[in-house]
Amino acid sequence: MSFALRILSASLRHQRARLSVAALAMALGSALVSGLVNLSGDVGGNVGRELRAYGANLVIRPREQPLLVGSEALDLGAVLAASTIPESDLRSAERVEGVVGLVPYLYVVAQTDGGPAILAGLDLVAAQTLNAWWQVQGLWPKAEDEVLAGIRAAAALNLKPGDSLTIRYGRQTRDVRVVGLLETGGAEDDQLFADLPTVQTLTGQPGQVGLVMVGALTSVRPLEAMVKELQTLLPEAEVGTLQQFAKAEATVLDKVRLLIALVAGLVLIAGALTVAGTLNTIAIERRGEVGLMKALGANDRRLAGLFLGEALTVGAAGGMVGYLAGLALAVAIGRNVFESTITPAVWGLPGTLLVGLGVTLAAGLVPMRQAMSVDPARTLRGE
Amino acid sequence: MAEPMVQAIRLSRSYGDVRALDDVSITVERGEWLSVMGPSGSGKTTLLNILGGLDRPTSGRLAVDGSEITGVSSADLARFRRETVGLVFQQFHLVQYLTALENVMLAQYFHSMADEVEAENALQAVGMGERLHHLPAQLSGGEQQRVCIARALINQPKIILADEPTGNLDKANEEIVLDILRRLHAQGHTLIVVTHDIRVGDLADRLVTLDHGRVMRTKTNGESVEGRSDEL
Amino acid sequence: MLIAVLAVTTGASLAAALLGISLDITGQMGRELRAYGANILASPANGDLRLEIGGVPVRVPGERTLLDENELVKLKTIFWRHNIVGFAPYLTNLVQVNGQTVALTGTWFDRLLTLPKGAALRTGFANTQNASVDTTFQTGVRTIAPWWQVQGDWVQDDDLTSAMAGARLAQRMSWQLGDEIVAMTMGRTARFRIVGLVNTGGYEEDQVFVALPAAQGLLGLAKGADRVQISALVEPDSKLRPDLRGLDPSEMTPDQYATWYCSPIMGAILTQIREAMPGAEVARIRQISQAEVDFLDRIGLLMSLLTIIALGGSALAVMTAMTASVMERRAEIGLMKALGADERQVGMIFLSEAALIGLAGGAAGYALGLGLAKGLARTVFSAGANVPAVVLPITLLLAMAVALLGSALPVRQAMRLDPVRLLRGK
Repeated sequence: MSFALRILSASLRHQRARLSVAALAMALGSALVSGLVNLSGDVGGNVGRELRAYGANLVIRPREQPLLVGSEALDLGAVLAASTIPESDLRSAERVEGVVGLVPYLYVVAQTDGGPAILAGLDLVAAQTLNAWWQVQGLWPKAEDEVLAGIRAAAALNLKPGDSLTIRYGRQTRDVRVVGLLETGGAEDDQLFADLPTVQTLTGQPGQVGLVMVGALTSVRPLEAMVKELQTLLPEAEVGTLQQFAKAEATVLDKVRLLIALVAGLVLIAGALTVAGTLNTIAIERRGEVGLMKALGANDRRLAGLFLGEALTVGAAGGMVGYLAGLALAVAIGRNVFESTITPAVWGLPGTLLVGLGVTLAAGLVPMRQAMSVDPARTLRGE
Repeated sequence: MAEPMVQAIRLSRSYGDVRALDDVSITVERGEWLSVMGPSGSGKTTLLNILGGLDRPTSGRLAVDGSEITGVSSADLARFRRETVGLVFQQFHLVQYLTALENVMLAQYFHSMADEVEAENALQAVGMGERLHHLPAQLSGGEQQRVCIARALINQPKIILADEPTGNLDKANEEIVLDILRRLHAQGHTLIVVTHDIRVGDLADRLVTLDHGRVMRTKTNGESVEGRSDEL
Repeated sequence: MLIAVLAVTTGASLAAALLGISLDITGQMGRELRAYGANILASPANGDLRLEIGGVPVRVPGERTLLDENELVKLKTIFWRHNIVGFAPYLTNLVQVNGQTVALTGTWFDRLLTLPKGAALRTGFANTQNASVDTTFQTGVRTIAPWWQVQGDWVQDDDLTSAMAGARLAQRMSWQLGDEIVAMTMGRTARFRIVGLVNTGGYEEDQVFVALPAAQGLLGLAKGADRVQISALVEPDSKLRPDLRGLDPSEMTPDQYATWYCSPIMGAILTQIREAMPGAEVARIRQISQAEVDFLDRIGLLMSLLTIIALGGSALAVMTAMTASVMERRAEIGLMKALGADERQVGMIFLSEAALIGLAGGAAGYALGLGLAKGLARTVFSAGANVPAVVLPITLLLAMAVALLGSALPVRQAMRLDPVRLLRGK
């Protein structure tokens, strides 16, 4: 056995140039596998996180909410004797696994000197995270008397950042200052925004909210599971899925995962071909040697053992290097493409080595069989 | 009288339309030194390859040391090569990345087990005791050939086949190698040597000349007999 | 040699397939992202301030500026008309049903529109061409809002007596499928039979939907919509020609502007929609469009990186195959050298062979890769692949370059050896 190792090490040393290329090919193939394994293990997670940029995919409403509409004849201020959700109930909701954003809202129709306008009280800090597309010209409100004005509201009410306006609701009056303008292209453009306590005080509903927008990470847990958990925590409320976002997200996530998997498959084939090609080159080079050994009476088992030994050494060495390179690659891609850190997949190393060695063996089989079928008489003659 | 070491009966070898060997019958007695001569293309290397189990005849039969060689499996042929035959080639054919010692041990390894001491002794016997750990590239032609001879002998083969063993050597090294062959003959080994050099051929007990795959004449230590192959 | 050609073919097909996919990945993914709904909103210019909570109006002014939905067909004449996936006009009103105030919205569900023959189609920044035939297309809520789930039937666009009720509203009002409701507003009355219930989880569930003319009729109008949602295929700004990125269109030279105008980016498409709808205020719906372009940028980057890595892998595979093929013919090289050929002459022979192998393998690989790309796209995306024409020359060029490089090095190496060694086969 030790002489076999002696032959192996002498052989490896002698061919180190060519075997380095083979190991490089092996490393490349393994890097591809490792990179893709580490990346795609988390692609779902990363892509899922990206898709949270669309905002909330769940909404929590108070149960049996009466119609929030008033006819033209009604005094708008009195319309909203709507049922509400206590803010305190939301603490447990925030801690549900998978919930990454939770923004409670309280809407009122307020009167201003320029006419009626919708005033929304909301958790502005949470909104900044969940509503990533909110573009504010100016500042976000920090103090209690600061508001954001949607650009169409600002135009209609003749407001600029720095202007003050008086807000009336029922018998309550409040003076506020516009500190920023909000443009979204959506319903927000027509509304005014203040922090929750301001509006709660105005409507005399301290600690209450009318609506909660929730962003949940579906790549972490199935949406249904999170809905169920939230519903259990908030029995008085109604937890609903915003199909517009939930469905689209599920479709997109599936497609991205499938795409990456297929591309990974193609790339794996490239890696396998590289290894096969290199091993084939080596086998061709070794024909003379094989002929000699056969002439000396080596049987197929001994020859196969020698080749396999070389292939496995190359495979293991290249595989290790490749795994690390692939991991580094995945981390780099993760950081540059998704701006997030990739954690190495647990089964990344054994998986890569398994695939790498498997490919090396499979790729090496054909050239090995070819090499072993060499006719010693012919090669010794120099053909 | 003991059974002949080699009994080749009507060996033919064709490659497509080409008849490299045509109906050749040869017997080699134990301890005999046979020389095979002829112009290039005469089939002498083909004959040697078949006798050494490197190639199979298209027709005909071959027995070495009483065992039938024709028609056996590849594995058995490989065993025949490692146990019964010792090969020496014109182009040496040493493994370039193994030392002289390791090249000899390689033959042992394929046979049974590598034995460094035994290999060392074999090399010393051919005068290579000081160059055990040299790679073939660091050895002269003559030294390489001597390593080959040591390798050929290490498994105590029944027959030693040499294909132009001195073809690539200068005069001095040629003498050394021929000396070793003479010594082996004196020790009772059976030798079959292919050569184009009449001086080497004349050292043998018997000389067979081939031409176009057929035996032309044979000469036994001084006499020359023109004869048909079936008379040998 | 056959092995070399096979290797080049395989490498080239991988390259072609990946290039084909990644060059249009933003277009393909962009199409999938239309599942999120409209990314552009058109409102009447100088419109009144909307008073809506949760998408449902609290109050609707009596007199409003409205858009003309008959003009919308012009959206299919703009330069980027093929990027307009669909659009839907809405007219929302507050009506009384059984004494309750309910939001009623008229819209197009799946309307068949005809772009008449002779309509002026914009084919370039300054060019138009008249449409040679009538073209028809369907558009409406069913096109732009694929997440609507309807229990029962959809309202047909020519049916003025059917309605779909939002599920939440129906529950509150105790409406069932088949019920008849009477809607009253401003002295006018209309009867509707509820043929479907709408489930979306969103604000649609608090409204009643009817065909647009029915809603207009209730207001005594012949036409009018208070908003139009448009779903457009948009590519990220990173697809804009590099020297134009970050420039303000109003400060561009005429040539730059023409290029910008003809790029499938949001700014250009918005401009073209504004040209087709002069009375409208057209803006991107940031919630949808911003996330979309960010996402597309990232996916595009990811695919590019994967493609480059894969290309590197196949290049290496091809080069090893070419090296092997040259190695096999070392005796030939030795012979040529022995006959007195110099490095250039031997090089010419082998390199021209390599070029041919590269060309043949590249062409075969392209054909295969095209099939691969199409198959991949069909499996992953809803639409087939749109492989840009430039993939063919790129594939051929890469194949030839790699084949040449993969041959050149071993030939050079072989030429350095003695003919004797080469002929011996050592």
